[in-house]
Amino acid sequence: MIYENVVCPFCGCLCDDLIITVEDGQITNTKNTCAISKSKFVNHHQYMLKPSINKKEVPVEKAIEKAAEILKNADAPLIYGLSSTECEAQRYAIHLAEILGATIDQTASVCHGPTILGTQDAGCVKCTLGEVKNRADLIVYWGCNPAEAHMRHFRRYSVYPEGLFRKDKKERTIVVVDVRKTASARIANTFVKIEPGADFEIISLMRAYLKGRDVPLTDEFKTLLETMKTCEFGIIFFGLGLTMSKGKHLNVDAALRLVRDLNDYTKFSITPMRGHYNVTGAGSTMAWVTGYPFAVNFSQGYPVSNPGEFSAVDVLARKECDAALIIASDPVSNFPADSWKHLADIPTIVMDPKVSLTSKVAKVCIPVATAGIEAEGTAYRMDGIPLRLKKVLDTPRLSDAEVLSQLIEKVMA
Amino acid sequence: MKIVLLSGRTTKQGVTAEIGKTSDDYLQNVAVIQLNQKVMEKLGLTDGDAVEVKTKYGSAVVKCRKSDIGENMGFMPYGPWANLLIGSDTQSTGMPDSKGVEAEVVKTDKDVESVDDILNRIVEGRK
Repeated sequence: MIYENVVCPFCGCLCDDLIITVEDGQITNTKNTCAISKSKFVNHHQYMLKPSINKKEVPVEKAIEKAAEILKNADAPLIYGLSSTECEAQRYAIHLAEILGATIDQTASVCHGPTILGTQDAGCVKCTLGEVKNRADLIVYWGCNPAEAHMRHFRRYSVYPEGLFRKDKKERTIVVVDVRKTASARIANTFVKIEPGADFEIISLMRAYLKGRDVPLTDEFKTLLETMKTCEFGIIFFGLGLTMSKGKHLNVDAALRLVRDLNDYTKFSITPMRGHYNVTGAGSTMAWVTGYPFAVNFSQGYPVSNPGEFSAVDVLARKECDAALIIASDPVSNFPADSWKHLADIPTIVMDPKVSLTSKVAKVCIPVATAGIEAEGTAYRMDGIPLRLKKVLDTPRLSDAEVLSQLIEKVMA
Repeated sequence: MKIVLLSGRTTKQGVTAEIGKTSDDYLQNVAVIQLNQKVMEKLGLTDGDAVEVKTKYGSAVVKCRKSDIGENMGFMPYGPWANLLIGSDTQSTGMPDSKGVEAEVVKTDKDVESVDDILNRIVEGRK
């Protein structure tokens, strides 16, 4: 069986042209996949998680039963993850959080959470990746390395694709701004090096210079600014170089305002390079269900959001939760050790297709179908376009949505 | 030697995480730090030697890899080893300081910790 136009469940590019060959219940070939996507499809059956309670293997029904009991008895549970599963499962997770009076957070918290904060403050001049492909003659990658993290971004959306008005790389100018000469910098027309932690200062100087102020902006950035002002359609793609460095949301805020200012001269947009394939969907789903995109608490019976108070790293570091449900993410691998260690002190439940580091400290493990391979659903691309994930393999394992739906029933019983 | 520690994605980190985070492939490709060749020469290191990276938040033993990164920097792939080195303060944003932490790199005879070793050390250490 050959499945065409499969949407990739790895990064925020959501490439929708994959061809997956399945023979005798196994994925035997992939086409149009990047190295990471290929690895996800062909290795999805390796290191599979088994249902367990206290490290002892049990039937999955028992594990779900135990998980419901833990959540029901908790005073302040934390639900975290969501970005590597589909939107229906995310809706169920939010519903569960509301019933439990829980805190719910998604992985943008340690990724583009500062982008959300910056956008709430400054607004965002947006466009789709299709518009970039067809129209952009200047592409600036700032603090991101798509050659290693969003591997087909160049080919499908920005540098190489044949668009309506831009036919190939020769008709586009590519600039990379970063603290190190990455693999992405090597394909750019221009690489501009920036010192670690200097983004806010440089972008603010660029904004001031653009407004005619006499400020000490270096010639390199003056040239970049002139290129930006004189292009026909420009786009900044930015990554965690802005969100994880000193300044965080203020860096993003400055970049969003720079793009707004540039629209006095030409058409310019800005898009975050979202990492996990449905982290954009996690923010969208949480926003249209609760009113807030991340770090939401339901303990008062209605949603309240406050990053720093209800964000997962902070909740764990301050030991402010007494149980945790981790869905489609791995905080033990991705959080500071000083934060995740609380997960080993409380009853932690993990829902994941594979063994993760968090599953190794969890009290209850519930294996699930891999969304986008063994379960269908909706995911949002980095530019906010929803696409339908396909199911290419059958599995006896329940999907995230099915497990969460059962947890809701059992908690309410 | 003092450096500014950066962390980020690499292709190998992504590919091996999808194989499995408890796999040897993952350890070989994620428990690493990229350093400038001159920095490695000053520390008497050759490619693949073990180094201990220390910050005020913790320490990790990883293999060093030669890179053309700036002399004042070191780069580690995202993962449990890099996360031993950053703190949990988010300045009320939810986001820890995952890029730009000051670190010290020294040559070491210690072994690189497996993910199980890390889990045991941190989980036992909390008691």
